Amino acid sequence: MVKFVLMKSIKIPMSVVRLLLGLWMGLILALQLILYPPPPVLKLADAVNLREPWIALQDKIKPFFRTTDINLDFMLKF
Amino acid sequence: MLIFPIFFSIVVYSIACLGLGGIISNVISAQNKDVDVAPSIDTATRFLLGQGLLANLWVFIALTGNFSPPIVNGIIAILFILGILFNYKHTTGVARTIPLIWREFMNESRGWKLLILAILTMWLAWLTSIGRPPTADGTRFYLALPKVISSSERLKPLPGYEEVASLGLQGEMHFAALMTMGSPEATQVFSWLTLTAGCILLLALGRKVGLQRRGQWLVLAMIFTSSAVIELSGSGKTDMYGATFAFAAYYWAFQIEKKNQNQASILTGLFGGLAVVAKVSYAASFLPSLAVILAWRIFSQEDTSLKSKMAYFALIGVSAVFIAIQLPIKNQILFNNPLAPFGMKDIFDQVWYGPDTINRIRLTLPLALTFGDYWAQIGNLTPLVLMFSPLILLLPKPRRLYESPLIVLGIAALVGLACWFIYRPAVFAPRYFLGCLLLLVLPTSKGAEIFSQTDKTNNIFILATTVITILSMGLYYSSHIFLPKQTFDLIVNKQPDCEFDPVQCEITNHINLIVAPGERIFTNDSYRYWLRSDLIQCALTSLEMENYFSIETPEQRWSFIIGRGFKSVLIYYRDIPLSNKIRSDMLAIPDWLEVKTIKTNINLIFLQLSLKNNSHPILYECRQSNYPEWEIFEIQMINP
Repeated sequence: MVKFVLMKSIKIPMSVVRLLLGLWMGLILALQLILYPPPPVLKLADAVNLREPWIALQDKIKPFFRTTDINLDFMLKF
Repeated sequence: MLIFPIFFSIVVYSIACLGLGGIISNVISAQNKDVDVAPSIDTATRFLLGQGLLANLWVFIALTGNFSPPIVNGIIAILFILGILFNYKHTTGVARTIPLIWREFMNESRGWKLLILAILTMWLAWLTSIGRPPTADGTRFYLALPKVISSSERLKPLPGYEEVASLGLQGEMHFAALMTMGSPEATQVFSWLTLTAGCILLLALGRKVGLQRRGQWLVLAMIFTSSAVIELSGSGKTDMYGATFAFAAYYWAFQIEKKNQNQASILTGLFGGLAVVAKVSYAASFLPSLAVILAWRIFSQEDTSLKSKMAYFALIGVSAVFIAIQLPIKNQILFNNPLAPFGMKDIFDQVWYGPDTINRIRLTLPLALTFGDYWAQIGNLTPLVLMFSPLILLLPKPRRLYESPLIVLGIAALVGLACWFIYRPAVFAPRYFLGCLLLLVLPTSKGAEIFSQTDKTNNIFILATTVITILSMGLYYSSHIFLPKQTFDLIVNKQPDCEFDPVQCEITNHINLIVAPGERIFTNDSYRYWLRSDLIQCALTSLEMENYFSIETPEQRWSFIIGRGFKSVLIYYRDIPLSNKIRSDMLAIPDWLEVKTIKTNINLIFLQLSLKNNSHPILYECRQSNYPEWEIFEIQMINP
């Protein structure tokens, strides 16, 4: 059992805590690997013919973390 | 082999910083002889204090035009001797902690040993970015300005980027000194040492607020997996200096208590002032976060009178002003404006994105900080902070929020970030608020530490996640930032200047060989660091560029270029106005002008200009009026 000590004491089974935490951490890690894939992961994707779906998934997610709406006057100075 | 001059310069220069820091530290702590500070913390404090003061000294010397090798090396030699005298006891103290840490390491489980080795590998990987070509702002001004200071022996505005000299100069002055010592490659090693000293103080702060050894290792893991930190390694940028001074200020703010109030207050003020001098944007982010910590620390001392509390603040303020005074003095001399960079265009009026993007960043801030890839963002906070953020619910619950130092730190970090995103939401770059951003690693590390201690499975959870993240970041950056082979080639085999940046070198080396001393080059090249120093000093100025754009016809623009004394043109191909104008003007070359293409590649074109007749006078030239400095003069001034 784990008590969350910053709120009112709530008893939550450890297995539930681990599941929720695992899902959360897995999601963050997955996002990190999709957006910034290390070379071995890309090689693995090539080996199992998943490179194109990987790139397609990247192309779907990346626009959310980028913009084309840039102040050109400022950008052109640099 | 470059490794010997690099090693020699770094050792001598670092001990010199310790020398100056040791003198000042002894004066500050004279009244608090019974205060016991761990040797590693004391050494890191002296190193950072010494380098902060030394940079100020360099600024004043360079303003007078006396930044010459005899003076610079002489001062370094004296400080080196003082460094040995004032710090040998600390060295033995630091050496004694190593067996302790080794014993703790050997007592750790296999999983934690693996994690610690992974963290140390990432820490050392920073050094393998020496072989990385400096990029963007590094070559534009953070390295170009020190190169000019070192060769001209004077601090003056850099042609094309004049406003940069109005900023606080910390890392830049150390780069200039190391270049004067003959080792430009040592500049990035010095940045690594500075980061290490900052990490020691951040870990000490972590210990102070309740982190145990495992939590401290997690702090380091988070620092070295933050791409906002990784991207700075080897780039030539100096943003790390502001962050390390911020860590020192936070640490000493936490140390303020009755027995050492003067020492801690003075050090807080000095480091706070240095943080803002090193990175002016910290005035909007770091200062509010420091104010939260100071208010909490000072007002929570119940046995201290209000008058004494106000005296602490006054002491902090006076110390900060003392160390930061070089900024208005420098800017009065260089720009006739002591408040610069306020009032200089493009420095504070920056708006990088449109309103929709700004709103999106604000609404998704934790995700944007972790995964964002916005223009000029250059790096993120480690994903470990987001991953472990739910674990802050495990932090011990105090009776009142302000009784928990960890919670106060978290609030201080959030206040600093909030202030930045209210003041400048349109400038989204972690390096502008890195000091308060990285404070978030402390509460999240503690939460993860507590979770890892609950049972074996949770311990493996934390370990696995952290190790995978370290591996992922390390391997991702192994292709373009961590470059051990290039670094080895550079320091062992000594490649010619900029050879490890072949795209630039192909033309830059050629220019440096064929162009006469003091020749003016009309250029938009951002990579001007690789040009000879005289060519950088004689290059196109911002005012000349403004005047150029106000001219209407191609012939008049060519006449302007010739009249200003430019004999060659170096254009970096980009879809930007200067590049586009020159390229279109090349289709309209007037009869009186010969334009010869000397070199071209996919990125650059280098042209030489010569007059076919005397129809267009040359009104300006660049020459050494005050050796070894190069300046631009009107020709009629020397022909009365």
